[in-house]
Amino acid sequence: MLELNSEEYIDDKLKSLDLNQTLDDQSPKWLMNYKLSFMTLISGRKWFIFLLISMFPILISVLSGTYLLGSDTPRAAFMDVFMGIFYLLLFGWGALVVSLPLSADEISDNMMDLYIVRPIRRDVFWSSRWLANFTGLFLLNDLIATIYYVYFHAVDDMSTIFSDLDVLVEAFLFMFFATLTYGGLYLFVCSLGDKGFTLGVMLAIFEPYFLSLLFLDSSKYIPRNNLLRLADKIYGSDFTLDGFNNFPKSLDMAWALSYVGIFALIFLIGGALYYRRREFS
Amino acid sequence: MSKYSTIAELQNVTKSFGEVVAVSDASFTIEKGKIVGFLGPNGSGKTTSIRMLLGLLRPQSGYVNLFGVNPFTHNGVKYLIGYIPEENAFPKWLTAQKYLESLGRFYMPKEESRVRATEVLEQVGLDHVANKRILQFSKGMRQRIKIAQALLHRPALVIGDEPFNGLDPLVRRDMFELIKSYQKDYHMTFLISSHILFEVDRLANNIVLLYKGRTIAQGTPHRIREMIQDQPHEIQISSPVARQISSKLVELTSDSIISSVAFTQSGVGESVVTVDTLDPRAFYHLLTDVIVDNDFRIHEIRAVGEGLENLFKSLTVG
Repeated sequence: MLELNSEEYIDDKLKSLDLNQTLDDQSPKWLMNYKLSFMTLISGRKWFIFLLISMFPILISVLSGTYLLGSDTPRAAFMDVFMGIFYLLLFGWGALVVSLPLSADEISDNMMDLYIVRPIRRDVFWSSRWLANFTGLFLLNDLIATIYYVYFHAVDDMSTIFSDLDVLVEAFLFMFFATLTYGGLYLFVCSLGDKGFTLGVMLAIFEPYFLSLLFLDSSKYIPRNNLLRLADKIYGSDFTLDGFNNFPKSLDMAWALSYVGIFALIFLIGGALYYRRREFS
Repeated sequence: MSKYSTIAELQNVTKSFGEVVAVSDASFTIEKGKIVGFLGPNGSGKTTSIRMLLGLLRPQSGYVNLFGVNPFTHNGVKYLIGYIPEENAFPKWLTAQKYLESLGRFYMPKEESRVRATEVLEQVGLDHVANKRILQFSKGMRQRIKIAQALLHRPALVIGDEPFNGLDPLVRRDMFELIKSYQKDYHMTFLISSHILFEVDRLANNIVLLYKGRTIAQGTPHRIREMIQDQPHEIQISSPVARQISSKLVELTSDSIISSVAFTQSGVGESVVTVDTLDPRAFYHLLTDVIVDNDFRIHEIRAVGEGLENLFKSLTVG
């Protein structure tokens, strides 16, 4: 055992590590940082604000007395609200707001220093945060979907709550792809220094209402187009692209999966490279 | 000479943020096993220099060397440093014990981390609140938990950014003793920044003075004290016979000791003589003679400022 802070001890700590040593050295830190990041998300409480905002369609349903909001069955009401309101209008904001405790908030509070000065590689630090953010956002979106699902069945016909479960599971699957695509994007954008939050808000405004919809009929390079293609396949007859005129029918499932997968990877790998070079000023 | 006798080195380092030059051509070294006081007024570039040493910022010119490597690119160096941040940066949902245990996992196995967390909490006097959430801590307690997390893994170098802010005198003294014991027992080195001289001169073996982004002096606390004593001082004397005192001082003294004397009458019948002196030691001798010889009554003699600002100005101008 080397004497603490002796010349040999310092040499030992500074020596370059090979791949196996790096894995042994960094794995427990990756796990610890994942745990701390996930707890930061939960304790941030921003997720709760988003959860409350997401209950807006339920409030309208209660106040209007039209409990299924014009749909014939709880299953159809769930699909209309989840895909037509939540996914289209609220989901992007959720991805932004929920990630804030791990991005803009921690930078402005100097919390990031607490971790960056530890012997954890910056790319390892980023990837564990990326996954913690993904996990938190995925679970929250699933919780929202479950609340919608239970509500529409409770107000109309509880007898179909189990027979309709397939559509809830499909919503979880769809949210897996959607969260994968957008979780890292907002985490990355909101980490871009002092203006990160402003950039994130601009993106949240323009992406669903401008970029995706404006180019929906011609471009296949927008993640939401590809996610809608996935939704079309995942939900089967419960969700169709009929509402979207001239949707590019040539987009197939493999292409859409590749696209959202690559999009997610860009922000995972890009974020790791960015963190390796970024300064915390 | 040991390979790591010089632990850290900043050489001709410059760092700007937009048009603001935070550090300008600064150079200093930190020797192994020393406690170095890093002294400068607010906005002098101390925190920026510290952040470059920690590998959080890259210098625009010059170089930063920590244990012979670049701290920005070399992850291994992070095992050897502990950092006491100025800001209260900790997850507030955690208890003190869990907080230290979690951070300890970045350096050591779980069980060792638990034992060290308990040990260091006792050392900083927070063992009785180990299971309380940090959110409930007072300012002084938060300062101590910040010191605790930096000592947790007994690093070769601890860098503290104003670590004694908000500590009462008794706790500050205890923290001084703790730092000295770690220095001695674990061969540790400390860089402690402050803008108040008395905070570091009792603790430090060496002091680095930083002013407007430049290192203007480096020496022992004794030497720095001497330099301050040699600076112009403003001294105020409150007395019911202030007018007579000022007359005597003007009569007796030469320009080499006193550069100006001003007499003011306060609204409550108190009079004050304000003296600018170039040689405080000679002035105090002179003042004692004047008071004793004339049997003057004095309410208060007060030095305005500690002369540190004057020292900064004279060293940068001179």
